Order: sequence, then C-alpha cells, then structure tokens
Amino acid sequence: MRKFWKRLVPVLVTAAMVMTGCGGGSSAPAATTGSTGSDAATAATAAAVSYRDTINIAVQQEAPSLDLHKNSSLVARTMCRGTVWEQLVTLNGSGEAVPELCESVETNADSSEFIFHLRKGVLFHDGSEMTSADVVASMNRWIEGFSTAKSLAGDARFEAVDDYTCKITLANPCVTFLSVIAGSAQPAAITTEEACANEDENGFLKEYIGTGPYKFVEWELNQYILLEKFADYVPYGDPDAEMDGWAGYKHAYTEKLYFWYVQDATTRAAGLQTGQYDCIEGVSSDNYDMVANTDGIKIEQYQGGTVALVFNKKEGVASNEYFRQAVNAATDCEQLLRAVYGNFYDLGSCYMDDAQAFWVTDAGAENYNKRDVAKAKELLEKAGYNGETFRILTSNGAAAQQGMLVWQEQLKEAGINSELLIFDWATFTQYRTDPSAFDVYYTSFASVPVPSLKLYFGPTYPGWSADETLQKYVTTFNTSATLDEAKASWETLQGYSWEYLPLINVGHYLSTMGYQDYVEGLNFYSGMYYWNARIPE
Amino acid sequence: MKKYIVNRILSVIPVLIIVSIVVFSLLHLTPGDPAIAILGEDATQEAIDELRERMGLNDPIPVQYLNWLNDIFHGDFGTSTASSGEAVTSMIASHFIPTLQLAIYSTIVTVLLAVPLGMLAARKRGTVVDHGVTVLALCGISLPSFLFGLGMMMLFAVKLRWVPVSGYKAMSAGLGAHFRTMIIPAVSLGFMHSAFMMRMTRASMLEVLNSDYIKMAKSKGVKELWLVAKHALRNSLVTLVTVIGQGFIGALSGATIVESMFGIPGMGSLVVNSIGRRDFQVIQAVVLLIAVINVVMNLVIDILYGIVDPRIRLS
Repeated sequence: MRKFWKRLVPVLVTAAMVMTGCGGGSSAPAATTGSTGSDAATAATAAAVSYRDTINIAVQQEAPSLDLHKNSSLVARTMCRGTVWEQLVTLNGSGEAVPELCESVETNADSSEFIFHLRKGVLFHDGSEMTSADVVASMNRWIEGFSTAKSLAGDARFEAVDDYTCKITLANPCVTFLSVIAGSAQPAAITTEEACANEDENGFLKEYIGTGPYKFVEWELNQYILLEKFADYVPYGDPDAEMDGWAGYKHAYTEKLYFWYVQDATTRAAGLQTGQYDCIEGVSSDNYDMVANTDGIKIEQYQGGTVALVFNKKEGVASNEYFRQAVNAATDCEQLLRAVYGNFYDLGSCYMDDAQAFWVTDAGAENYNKRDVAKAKELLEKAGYNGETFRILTSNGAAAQQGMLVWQEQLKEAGINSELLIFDWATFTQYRTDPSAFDVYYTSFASVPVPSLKLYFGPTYPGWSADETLQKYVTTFNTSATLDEAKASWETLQGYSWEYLPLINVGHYLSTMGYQDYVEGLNFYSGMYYWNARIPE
Repeated sequence: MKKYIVNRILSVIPVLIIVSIVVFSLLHLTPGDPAIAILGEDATQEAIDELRERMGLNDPIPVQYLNWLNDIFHGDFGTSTASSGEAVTSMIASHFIPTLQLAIYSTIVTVLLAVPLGMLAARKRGTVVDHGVTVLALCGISLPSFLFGLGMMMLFAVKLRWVPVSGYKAMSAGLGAHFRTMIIPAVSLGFMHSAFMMRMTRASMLEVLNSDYIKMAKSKGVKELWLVAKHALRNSLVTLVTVIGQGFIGALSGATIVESMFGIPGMGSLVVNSIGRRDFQVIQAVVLLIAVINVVMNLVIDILYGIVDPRIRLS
C-alpha cells in the first residue's frame, strides 16, 4: 500500500504543477470602474458625470468569423457594424441609406452610377488615413463574397476617381443599391487595402482594422470579445442630436466593451439578474417572466425577421400551384408561431419588417392566415392530389420541431399526408439544395433593408422561384429608376407572390434583449448597439 | 512490470489508427458542405468554391485523410476559421487546462463524497444510514447534471451571490477567484459521478467484508477502522480505480453541458461552440483528442490495475 501511494503522490504533484504552470491565459476581467471624460459636445453633461469604463454584454452565439465580408452571422454584425467597421453609407431610422464614411453620394438619373465623395481625415485603427484605394479594395472584396451584391453589380466594380472619390457604374439601374450597401446581412465594411490582402490560409481577414469608435483588441474563443475605445476616432453628425437609426454622432463614452459568449439562455438571464452582465441578447420566452419581474431590468423587443415555409417549385407535389394554395388555406399561422416562439411573434403578411417602414405593404394580405379547411380540400381536388407524401424539411431545433408538429396536424385535418424530415443545420442546408429531397422547408430570414435582399425570390435559391411572371416583377423592381417606382413594383411583386406562393410568409419573430436600467444611451434599431452606451458612476 | 506496460502501450497503436479513421470518416461522410456552413447562404458560389479549395475539400477522401494524418504527425491540426486564423493546436492547448482542472476537482469531489459514504453504507448495512446513502445515490443517478447545476446556480449565484453565475478565472488571477468560478461546476459534475461510485464502493466493500480473511482479521482482534481502511479498502481498490478512471474520462470528455452552462472555456464547450461556428478543423481535432484521451486513460487504468493487484500483471 505504501508503495502505491509513493507512486501516486508524484503523479498528483506533477498534475498540480501542470495546472498552476499553464493556468494563465484567460482571465475574466471584472467590471472595473474608472471615469471617462466627455468626448465631444454633450460635454456640458458628460464632463460633469463620470462613467464606468466597462460594459459587460452577454451574447448567445459566437460568430463563425469577424470577417464581415464573408459572413452573415447576426452576432458578428450587431457586435461590429458601426462599432469596429463603418460603411460608405448606413441606415437611418426610416430605413434610408445616408452617408457614413462619405460626405455625399452622387447618383445619375437612372440610378446606375454612384459616385462617393469620401470624408477626409478619417483614420483607421492602425493610424493610416482612409483613401479611395482602401474603399475600392474593401468594396470589391465585399462584392466578390456577397451573392446579392454580385448579382446586382454584375461585372461592375468600384474604381478610384481620385484619393477621396470613388465610383461604381452598374450595367442596369438599381435604385436600391445604396440600401444594399447600407444594411445587408453581409456588411460592406471598410478596412485598409493592406488588410484586404492579408488573409489567413482559409481566406479570412487576419487583422480587424476599421474606422469605427471601437477597435478590436482580443477574442478569447469560447469566452469573450473585447473592443476598446479608439482614441482617434473621427465622428460625424451633430454631437447634440440623438442617433437616427445607425447614423449619427458616436461618442464612445465607455472605454471597454466586453461581449461575453454565454450559450445558455438561463445563465444569461441569471447573470443579468445578479448584475454580472449589464446587457444580454436573446432573452428566451421561458425566462421572460423571470427577467421582466426583476427590479431594475428593462426589456426591449424588435422584429428580428420573418418566419417562412419555402416550397419546392421545381419538382414534387408542391410544384403544383393549387396544392401550394391548399397548404396555405390549411395553415393557421398564429398557432404555428406560438408553438415555435411562445409569445415572441407578430402576425403580418408583409415580407418586410417594421424597421423598413418604407417597404411595408399589405398587398396580398387577403391570402394570409385565412385558415379554411373546406377551401383547402377544394383546392386539393383541383390540384389532383392523391394522398402523396408532402415532405417537410426542418433543422433540429426543439421549437422548430414543435411548430412543425402543430403544422402537420393542421395539414392532416385538410387531408394532406405529410412527413417530417429533421436534420442538423449543416445537413439541412445541404438537403434543401436537392430538389428531389423535400417539398417544403421551414426556416427564418433575418431582417433586410430592401426587398431585393430576399434570397427566396432567386431562381437558383433552394425553392427555385423560376416562375416567369415572378421573375419579371423582380427584374422590374431591381431596375426601378426611382424609389417611388420601386415601391409600386414591390407592392405588385408581393401581391403576386401571395397568389403564386413561392413560400408562406408565416409572420415575424421578435428578438428580445434585456438590460439594467442604469445603462444609458443604448441604441435600438434592428438590434442593440453600444456606441453611446454609458453607465454613470 | 516493464513488459506488461510495453505490451499494453503496443496494443494501443492499432486502436488509435482505427479511432483516427472513424473520427475523420464521421465528419467527412456526413452530409453538409462545410464551406456553405461557414460562409452562410448569402455567399457567392465563387467564395464557396475558393474556401473548399483552401480547406482541401476537393481532394478525394483518402487523400484528405492522409494529408490530415501527415499534418498531425508534424504537429499541425490546421487553422481555425474563426479568430483570425488561430492554429487549432494553440486553441486546444488553451482549452485543455480548464477541462483538466474541472476533471480533477470534480474527481476529488466524487472521491470525497463517494468513498466514505459508500464505506459507511457497507458497514451500516440495512440501517437508516444505508438507506439514506442509497436515496442520495439514487438522486445523483436520476438528476440530470444540468438540472442539479441550475439549482446550484440559482441558490449560490443568484440568491446568495457567493459565486458568479458563469465565467472562468485562471489560477494566475488568484486562487480565491479561480475556485469561486470552479466550485459549483466541480460539485455539479462530481455529485453526479459520486452517485454511481457510492453504490460501487458499497457493493465492493460488502463483498470484501464478507470474505474469510476479514473474518480472520476480526477474530484476531484487528480494530474496526484499521480493518476497513487497510484490509477491506485496499482489496476493493481495483473496482474503485475503474470507476474513478471512468468518471475522470467522463469529466474530461463529457462535461460539455456543465462547461457550457457555467461558461468554462474547456474542451467540451470548445467542440460545441465549434459546431455552432462550423469550425470543422477544430471539431475534427478535438473529437480525435477526446478519443485519444479515452484510450490513454484506459491504458493508465490498466497499468494501475497492475500496480494495485499484482495478480493481474502476472496473468
């Protein structure tokens, strides 16, 4: 026995030495206090008040990458858009594209040429000044990686006119091109020409250099991303005015922003309750009451995007328009949304969300959420339906499965024989590219600033909306010369879409965020932003 | 003894080769294009094709496997698609320490809870104490670790505010700070494992306590404590070493839920988050490493058998 312990003790000592010796690395910083002076002209107030130097934010997902040119993840863009990276133009509160890194934009009569006059003296986080060479390299890298931008731009690319001017000339008019630059899911971030060329072996940016009020400092995988105030940030807009959407004067009152990755929804909610986190993203419906009933905590909700059932129009039972109409008549959207999102949803036939007020229309609403089993059966007869299996493809989230089970019951009442195919996300994305593998798939689409970013109208996008009339309306919309023309053609397009039914737009899901009531200056526009956030000491 | 150890190590080599083939095949033969998953549905086809080429996904599967194996032998597990191309090796190195710490702490909790209680239950067989320990063990076996952990979090972090809700601090930040972040996860994990071990200790002790040599020792007047601690415990160690080893392996490779819940940046959460980020190089490397850890730990247990019970190595 003594021999055994003699052998075991050195092993344990070695293990302890390994642990203590190598234990460095990551340490969770406490929310240290300090004071920040005023940055600019709200100086009168800000100089009198000092702010905590750190805000701790808990986010639900870790981004696949922070290279925004090659990544459309929500968490990456809410963390970095306008914070680390700015764009030539951005969205104001009405969903319009307004200048951010440029002073002005000249557009020709038919909206096919865009000339950007850049702001002078704007500095990157590496200290260099932004010139047209950086903008051209960044914008062309963005076009190469982003399918919608590439399809709108065709062969056209950005080119420098002089050091502070650049332009792009499109083959076809595109009145929404600026909005695509301003608010797409894959942001048109401006970085340096050198950074664009400095890619790692997978082709992603090695350095995260922007012009925003915060610079990237550190990414401790599985723990946090730290952004720190950029002392030489060159703001724009009126320092005394409130921000308008994503546009306006950014004061950056707080020295450090910690984005903690906290996967578990209950842990995030508990962390908000104890004050470990100042703000959290993704309050689940299960934790809503717990958070909302805690003193000193506020909740904010916004329409995060739309929920959709996208039909396979290429082959199979759903390629028949009467069948799709029958499915639509059999569907109770509210039941389905409640099963998936609890109370976090809005009913609505419009394909666009509230934040894009200009594009909101009720065209086609007469066909939305009008459950009528008798009508569904009638349409099934017209379609010549003989009990073929209607295959529903979905990814393996528990809530999505619940929703699909509810929908299956609705379809069953109308006499539709359905089968549920559930896969992990990667398999789901692969299977939905195969027209022989499914008849409809359930998914959600994040908010986009303009209808031209709705991928499901594309003839090659899974679901294959190749209908000639639909494509004619899409082209008319994309080539509109004025916004009024575009709005009118969008109404026609959505109205027709509710008849042709490339998809059923089930409604809107709500994204929910919580924050301590002592956090001031948060910006809520399609997300929660921290450019002017501050915590008075 | 040396011959025994060498034989055991040699027997591990074919196992490791098979493990590497299985790990690689699992990830590469399942549907789903990593390039699409990483770049998202807004990406251009050209960008997807380029990433596939850069990741070597256009090569035939056997060629990909041999390239991967070759890189591993050169210490290169590839590059993560996240965090500006960090090497997977350095990511694993930084994530292994918290997992190792959690595994050691939870194993200590397991042993401290299970061995004394299991021995006590065996000595007091059929009494209230025995039944009490059995109920405790049943609770441990039945309660999912996330539920027990959640209860601990609500009590000690939210109500009492003794510890943070989540997060991790390395030892370099101070022992107090370190243990404040690790104590609840370690107890959550340790309690679950201790339940099974409690039952095994009790059963094993009962078997030994009923043996002839214990009766002989008793009749010779050996004291109760000495009898249990020296004679009975030593002879039930073979079973206990197996259970402790399995618990340790479980904590090293299966603490995913506890790590995710308490924000411990260990191997379990690394693999889960890498799946979320579609970071395939990392998933591949971590799954392989966890499999290798399992194999190596089983080897260590086998060698410990030989130390604890010389009859095993002789046979």
